[in-house]
Amino acid sequence: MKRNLISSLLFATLVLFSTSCGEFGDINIDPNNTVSVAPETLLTNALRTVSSVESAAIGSLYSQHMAETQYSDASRYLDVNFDFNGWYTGALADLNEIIRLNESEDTAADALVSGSNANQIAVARILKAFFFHHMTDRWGALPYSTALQGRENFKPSYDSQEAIYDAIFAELDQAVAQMDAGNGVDGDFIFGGDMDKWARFANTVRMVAALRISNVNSAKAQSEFTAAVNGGLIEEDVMYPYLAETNNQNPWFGRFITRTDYAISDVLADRLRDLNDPRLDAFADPAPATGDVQGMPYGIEDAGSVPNSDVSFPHISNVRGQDAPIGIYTMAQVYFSLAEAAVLGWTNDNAEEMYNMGILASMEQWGVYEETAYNDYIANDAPYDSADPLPGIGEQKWIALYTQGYEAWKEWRRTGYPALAPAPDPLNVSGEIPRRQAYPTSERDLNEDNYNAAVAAQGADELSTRVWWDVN
Amino acid sequence: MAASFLTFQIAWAQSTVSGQVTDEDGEALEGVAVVAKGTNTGAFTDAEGKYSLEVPSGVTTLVFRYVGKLDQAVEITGSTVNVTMQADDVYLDEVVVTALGIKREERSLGYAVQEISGEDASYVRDQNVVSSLSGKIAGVQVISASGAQLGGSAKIRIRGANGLGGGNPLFVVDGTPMSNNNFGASYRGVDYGNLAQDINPDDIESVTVLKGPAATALYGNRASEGAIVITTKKGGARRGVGININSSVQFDNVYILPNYQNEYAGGYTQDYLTWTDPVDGQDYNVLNYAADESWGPKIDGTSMYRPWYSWYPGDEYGQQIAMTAQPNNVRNFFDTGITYNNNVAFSGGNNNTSFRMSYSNIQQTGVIPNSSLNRNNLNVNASSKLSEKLTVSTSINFATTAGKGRPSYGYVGNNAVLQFNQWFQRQLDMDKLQDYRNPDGTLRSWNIRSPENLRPLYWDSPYFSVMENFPTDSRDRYFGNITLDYQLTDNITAKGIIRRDKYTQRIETRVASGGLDLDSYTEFVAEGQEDNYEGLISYDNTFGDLSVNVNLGGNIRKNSFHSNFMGTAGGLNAPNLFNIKASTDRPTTTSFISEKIVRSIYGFASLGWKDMLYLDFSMRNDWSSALPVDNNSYLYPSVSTSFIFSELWGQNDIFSYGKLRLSFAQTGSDVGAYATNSVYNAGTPYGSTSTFSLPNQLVNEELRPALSSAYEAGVDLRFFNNRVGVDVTVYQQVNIDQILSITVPGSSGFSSALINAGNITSKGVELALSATPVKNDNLQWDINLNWARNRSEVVELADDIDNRRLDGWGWGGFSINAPVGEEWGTMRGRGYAIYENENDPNDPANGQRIVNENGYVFENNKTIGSLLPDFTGGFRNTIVYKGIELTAFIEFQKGGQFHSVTKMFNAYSGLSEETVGLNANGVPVRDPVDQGGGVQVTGVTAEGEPAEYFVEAQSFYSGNLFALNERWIYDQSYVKLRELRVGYTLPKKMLGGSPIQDLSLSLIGKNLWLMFANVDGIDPSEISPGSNGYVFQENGILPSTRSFGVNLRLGF
Repeated sequence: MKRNLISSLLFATLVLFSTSCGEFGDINIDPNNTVSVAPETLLTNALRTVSSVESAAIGSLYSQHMAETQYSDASRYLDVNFDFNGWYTGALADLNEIIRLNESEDTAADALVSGSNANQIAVARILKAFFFHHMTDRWGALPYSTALQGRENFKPSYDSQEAIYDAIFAELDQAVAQMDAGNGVDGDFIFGGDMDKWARFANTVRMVAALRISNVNSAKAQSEFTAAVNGGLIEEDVMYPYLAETNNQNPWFGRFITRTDYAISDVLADRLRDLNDPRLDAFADPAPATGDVQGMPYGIEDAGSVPNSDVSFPHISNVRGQDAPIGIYTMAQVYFSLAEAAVLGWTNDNAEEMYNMGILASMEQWGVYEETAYNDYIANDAPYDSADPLPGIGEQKWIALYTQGYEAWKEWRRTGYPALAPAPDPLNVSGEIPRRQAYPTSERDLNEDNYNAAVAAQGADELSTRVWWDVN
Repeated sequence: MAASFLTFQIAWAQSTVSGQVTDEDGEALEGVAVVAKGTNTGAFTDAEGKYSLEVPSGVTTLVFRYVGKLDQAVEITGSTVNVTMQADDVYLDEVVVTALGIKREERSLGYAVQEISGEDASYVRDQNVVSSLSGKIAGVQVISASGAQLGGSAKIRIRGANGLGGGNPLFVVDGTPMSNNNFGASYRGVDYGNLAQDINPDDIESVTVLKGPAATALYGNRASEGAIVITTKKGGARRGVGININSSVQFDNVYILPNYQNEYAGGYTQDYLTWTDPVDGQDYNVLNYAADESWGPKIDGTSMYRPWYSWYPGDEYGQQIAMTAQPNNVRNFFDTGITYNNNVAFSGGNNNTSFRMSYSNIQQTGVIPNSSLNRNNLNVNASSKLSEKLTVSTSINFATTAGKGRPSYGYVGNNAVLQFNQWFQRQLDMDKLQDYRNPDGTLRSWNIRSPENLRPLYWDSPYFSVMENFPTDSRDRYFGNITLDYQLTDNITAKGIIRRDKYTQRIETRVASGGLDLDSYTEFVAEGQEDNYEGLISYDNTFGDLSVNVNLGGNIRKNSFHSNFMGTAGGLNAPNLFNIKASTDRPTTTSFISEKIVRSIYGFASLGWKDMLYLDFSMRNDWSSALPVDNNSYLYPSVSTSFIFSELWGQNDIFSYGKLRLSFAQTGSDVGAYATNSVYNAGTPYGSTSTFSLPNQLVNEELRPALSSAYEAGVDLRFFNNRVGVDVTVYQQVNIDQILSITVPGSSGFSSALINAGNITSKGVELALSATPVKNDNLQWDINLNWARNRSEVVELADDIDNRRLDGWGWGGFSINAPVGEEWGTMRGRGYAIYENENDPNDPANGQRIVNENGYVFENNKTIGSLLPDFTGGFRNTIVYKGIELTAFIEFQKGGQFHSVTKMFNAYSGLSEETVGLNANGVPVRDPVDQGGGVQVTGVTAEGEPAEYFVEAQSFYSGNLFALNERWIYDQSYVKLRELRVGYTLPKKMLGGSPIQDLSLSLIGKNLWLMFANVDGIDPSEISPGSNGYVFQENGILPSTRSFGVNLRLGF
């Protein structure tokens, strides 16, 4: 009897267990994170990444705007592999998500809180093109058409740089075309949701990209350039607006909180001094030892033997103020590009006028414009050379791109202006200024076949390999 | 009990033999089996040890058997045979604690189990139960932290990497699962220690390590990486109250430091710089104080120069001193650490109740100044038989830990040792650094920018770092259980148990105002809790030769974890106001909640036939709330058998015991909470605009439970009356569908993805040898040796994924990997370029390093090493001579490699001995190459021609060898005298009538001697990566320490 009781109890327990054991209600719903967000929050997050394009220190070393004061390894090209993963997992993934939320039938209506669907998609596409343009100029061929597919593809293949450029031009064109009269985007701390400014920004990216391929496919370059200009370019400097708080401060401010690793390079400082350029004092602080701006010898092994007091750090408020803005695209850059296009005969602009406008815009950007000095400068110190205008345009663009290091380096690779000598004590194999950056080692470890195919098509995964458009 | 299975038959008697059986001390033994040899005739001794037996004709020998004693065969010489049984100390017929706290005879188990007593685990009073296991159990590898880390994390790896992370076995104390969580940093930062340290070694009766799935099957998913089962000491029936006191004091000193050079001072050039003192207008020799390297002027003992402190206003301003060597400056920084460890335990009981209470206090100061640790442990075990059928018992533990100034390790600025070993000036006088504040309160540092710019460039005084930028941490914890045990019938018992483990961890960090780093304060509070509700019904019976034990149980487990973090941003708005409200910018704040439930039912049965053959089955089903609803149930079985084949031919003097074990088991496992839901993560806001982003880890809504299958076989052989024993286990574990977060190409949009990984297989061999070479009345010498080898291979991951990148470290692209088809833990990175003549395989230049005028030519992405050791083990000798006992424990590891950032920068910065001396020309290597100096580099040219170059020393070490990962890979092999104890126990006779029943005094030593290593200046046995991570590199390790102490044990 007793035994029966136990068996039935046991049986009852078992039945109870097996029917209800797998029921857990809401316990596995993550209380720490959300399953739905307004797309504008993704946009703001992606926009924060724009800062990394312009403020990277390594770009300002390659361009020889800055020099390292003590540990000069980076300016001597020690670093070969550069990580691109963060671009994809960060901004690009979020931009893709914005597009998905605005395209998918399930979410498109909810997404309207952040602007019209078409405008949000347009802005996301423009930013994607902007980032891919920056990236392909650094690495060359990249995962593009099969990238950002999550579990669908853990081994994205590489698209050639030429294909990526074609895609960028198409994206920018279509994005501008698809903008509608609906609400502009929210969460936009750069243009405040002004879609006209986004269209102008898109055209400016397209113009810069067009010029970049001028040596390798001048017909395409010209047609894209013309289309971009006709669409309307930016009308004022587009700056990244840093804030006076830790999370959103100017990276140069952050680099100088505890250390003093960077100074204006002797290459830039000496050249500006030769030109009597008023921007010199706006670019850097006076050296304590001399009371005027002194460049740090660029790329020397024994950098530590140059006392800190002998060199000039980047300007304390203009460059490394906590909320000092950095250019994304500036009017100076636009004018110098137009000047070059005019020289090439792509436009009817007056090249000299564009050149002078570029200098003026740059001086205004750095707060040193003064009419007499400017007139003196364009007349005597850096006059337009109508016989051979391109070196002068190139050099002025290089000066104007101070703090936009990567952009300056890319333009130097394309034009060869100004003539820069490699670091005297290089640590890289070729001993030359890098022509690109090598892929992250994670690609070798995780995406080996595609990596090998890309390297086979493009050339050795080294700093010395030139990308598709770099044929000068 | 073995004897209870013996059965006797009545035979026709020829004569009667009687006698008494006693133990070595003359005490009567009850229940000794006395058998007439070759027959089934026998008897048991009574309470006075007496027996009487009718011996059949022809029988000339009696065999005496008793648990824990050696079997004895005695010739019948008359009608009285008295016997003194000898203890079988090498192998008692051990009873070991297995999964769910079930005590089993070792002989009945079909899988490998190794148990050590609490005494053996902590005989040198190691405070971390994990590190106390180091080398003592075959197949259990412990990676300890340096003693300088003060309660640092010890990592335990059972049966190798096991396909998963670094290994994270389940800790169980008296059946209660314990968190071995960790709140410290990995690779760099502060190591707050692994939480299993809350277990007090003084309370440990025994530690059993369950290594494979067969052993851990009953614990289910969470023990898929093994289980450490700890049983605490209980009270027992005794007269009066027992009091035991165990006290020790130990002294820690820094042991191994890099070999520094003492020939060149700080700077980048060998010439002194000249500086005009603005006060007196005179020119002085000065150093480049801003340099944190030592490529400076020769330390000649005579040259006069201005030290850094001569530029600070005050008494020392203007002082010139001679350039003298400071060979012990780094060593002088460290203190002698002192540890007081006191334990008192009370125990008592009678037939119905038992009670034990123990209290321990540990007070410790570290070798790094201003570091200290204080621990208290209270343990209460009580049990009462309330009625004939109902027993109530409980075990409750309280543990508090409070740390102050636990040092930073690894590549972080606050790590003083990083400064000394990687970025320093060799001529610095440590005493002068100790005064790190000027009289006006401003900070002083050796690393000033120039004589007239006294702001430090890279480094504050190391004393400022440790004295003012210190973290504090505390943890309160309680864990234990309440158990009801009810005897339903003679054969059936039912048990209900409630268990809880709960802790609150608090960590505060601070960076004081005025130093190089932005001042800050952070506070982190975490609360972890696990509750278990268990029920078990057991049936136990014997049918003739067959013993049957059947159990049915269920378990509900609830885990919850809550944490809050707050940190100042942008600095403190009032100097040294360490409070969140002092945050200049909006402070960083986050909170986190995690909850999970696993429900289980299980059954297991053991069958035993005679004393010889045992068969075990188990089956368990889990339901996990963390898995997708459709896939959240998983069932897994185990079966094991044990065959004591020596029973077939009985006792003899040569072959004492032989056992064969075979097992097969599966273990299912799940995943952490919330891994299957796709969510957005909050990002850093832009001003007041909030941001969200897609997470970098791709979740998986279709995760399946993982299943690992293990096959294990073993044999246990003992010879010469158990004086020599060999135990060998081989196993293969196949992990199918292992849930892994694996790194994927970022271009997929995610940096990692949760997957069910195809197949990760590990195989291994474990060996335990024991011997007692000498054993007589005065002297006994015991030897134990453990040895194990494990290999893990990734057989298959998932479609499209052919490598699991385990981890990496910046410079040179160094990474460790688990590629499909290759060994787990393959190291890749920058290596030497090697010449290979494709056209001529016999070219003598093949395989040689390619060199040029800069030194070695390198090649990226090269396979340069392997993480897993060839084998690991431990070797223990115990010699007892009269009351004196000497125990020496040696641990060893062969193979396995690690990357050393300390070594790299020690050379880069010109601090290491290898950067000085004479080259092949007999000229100092640091002299210019054009004067015969330089480092000689030999190899072949890119064309394969023999080549030899001299390279400027500084360019070579700071340039050519920097980030040349292969150059900084070292063999992790070592042999270390880990523990040594010399103890004297007063004989009972001498204690006479005093209330003291036990008195022993011992000298103890830990980590005394690194007897062998293939790397100098780094102790390869203590490179714990902190809370998590793989032991593939050190990047600013704290020096290892050795400790000596005295221990006193008193029992009343």
